[in-house]
Amino acid sequence: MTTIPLTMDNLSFKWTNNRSIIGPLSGVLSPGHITALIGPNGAGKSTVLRLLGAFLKPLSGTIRYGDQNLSRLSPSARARILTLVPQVLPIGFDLNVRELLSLGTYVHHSWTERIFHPRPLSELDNVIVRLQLQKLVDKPYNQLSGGEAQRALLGMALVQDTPVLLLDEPTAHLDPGHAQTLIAYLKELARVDRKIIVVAYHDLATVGLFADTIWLMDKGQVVINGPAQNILESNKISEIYQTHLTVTQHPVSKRTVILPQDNS
Amino acid sequence: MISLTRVKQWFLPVALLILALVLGLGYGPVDLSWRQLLTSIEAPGLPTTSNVIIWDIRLPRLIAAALVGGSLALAGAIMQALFKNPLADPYIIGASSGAGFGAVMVSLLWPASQALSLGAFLGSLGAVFAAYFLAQGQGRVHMLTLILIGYALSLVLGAFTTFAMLADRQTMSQIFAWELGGIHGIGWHHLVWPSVIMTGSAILVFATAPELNAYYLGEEQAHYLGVNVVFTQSWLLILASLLTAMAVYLAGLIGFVGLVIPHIVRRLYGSDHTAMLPLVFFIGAVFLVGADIIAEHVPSVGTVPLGLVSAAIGGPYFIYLLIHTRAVNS
Repeated sequence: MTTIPLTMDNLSFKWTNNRSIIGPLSGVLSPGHITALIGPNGAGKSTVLRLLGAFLKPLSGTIRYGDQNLSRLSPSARARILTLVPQVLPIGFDLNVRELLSLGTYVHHSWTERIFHPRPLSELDNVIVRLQLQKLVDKPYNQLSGGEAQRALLGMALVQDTPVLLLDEPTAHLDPGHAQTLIAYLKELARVDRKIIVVAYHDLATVGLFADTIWLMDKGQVVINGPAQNILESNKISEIYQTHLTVTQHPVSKRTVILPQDNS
Repeated sequence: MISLTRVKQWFLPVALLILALVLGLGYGPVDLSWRQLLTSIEAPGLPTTSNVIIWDIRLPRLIAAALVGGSLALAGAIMQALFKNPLADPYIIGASSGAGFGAVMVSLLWPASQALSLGAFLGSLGAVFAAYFLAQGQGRVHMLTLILIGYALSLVLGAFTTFAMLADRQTMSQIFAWELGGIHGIGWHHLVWPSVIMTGSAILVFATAPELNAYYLGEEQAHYLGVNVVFTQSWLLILASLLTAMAVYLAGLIGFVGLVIPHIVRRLYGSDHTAMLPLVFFIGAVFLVGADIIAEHVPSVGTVPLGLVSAAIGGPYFIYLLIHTRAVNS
């Protein structure tokens, strides 16, 4: 069980044909914590996630896992530390769920194993049981429903078995039931597996139910960050979303939730 | 080591390839009996007419057909995975129009040089690399930008080629014949370098199969899976361009092999590149050797361009595929 944190130091980014700069961001993400990036559309949540995933090259700053600088690592060493679960992933070919999941083993196999004799990994079967994918393994990925596809993509990331998990809007296309199941998995991965979890998230109503820490973003900047409750109760939320919102508590868990205003 | 199921998978394509080669040796515009073929195989050294036909005319041509078919099919499989598009083909990023442009330039500038196919080779390679470098931005090459730039470049080069052909009608017929695709008159001396480069590239492509599997999910997701995308993508584009340009050098423009063969193999043997790439090469070879046997001697017509036969067989399958894909996705 790991206690190594992910540290961002003065991290910033700029698209070539755009003047605005994302960041600079600094902060420490610790194992067992779920961090949510929230903010209005276009705030730069997904960009920060892809920056953390080292897919985009930072303008300045570093990301370190323990004392390892992610930008200095080989692609395979980096992919043993972190991976990203996309919001949707259209695939133009016929892959079934088992084939999709086994792509997560890429980083754990040597070149000869990949080409000639794929060594079966116990992770693959564990993940299938854990995410209840048994009935889906032989189904074509393209025929899955939104909730099933999201679970299969999470499964691929779990087979990859990284201590850091980045998720882009994991519940954006899911109905409340499937969203709840997915959130429950994320909580378990944080509490039990002690993973560092970072989620780009847009739903103010539910973010307080699972996030430990919230980074509130606007126009590429982190406006405030801190414990979820403090951020959600801050008046910055209404200011940035440019609307009046009702801050209240979940009747059962007493966690902070934000609802739209209803004056009628 | 290589598993038994995989060896079993290879059995049929390899057997078909051998069968096609034997058929191709025995069948052609000059009638040879099977006894003559057998005698030639037993005593290849004798200076008989049938020996010359079989060993110096038909065999090099059939080997060229096999190499071109295998290479184009393999290049097609690479392009389809890299561009995340099952309808991509080896010519997608300007290889064919580059080849046409190169061929026209050579025949205009050095009309006596007979180096049409060398010009095509250089033009093909040049167009692909031009597209690749123009598509570079923000430290990496985006696959969609590459396709669009390749397309734009194709239009520009195509316009130049047409203009040059109209200005000099003599070259027009020469280029036209070349564009139809053909491997008539290929001798052993033509085959030395292409066969080395094509088989070498093919083996290097087989070694990159796991990365191509990751590319089914697109370059960004391949990156998160741990693939070195910058290296993999330039490496595979270089290999695909070499395979395509070599095929163009030997045979002119032959369509549909690169498009259709990877599909057939995926349907028969599944989508895993480690299993499917060698089969793509073999079945591509079988396809074009078969097409060449038909092209060499169509009864009452005689010899027709290989590209026409390939299109006549591959085209209808492609249309079927388009309709079928649409039915699945809607």
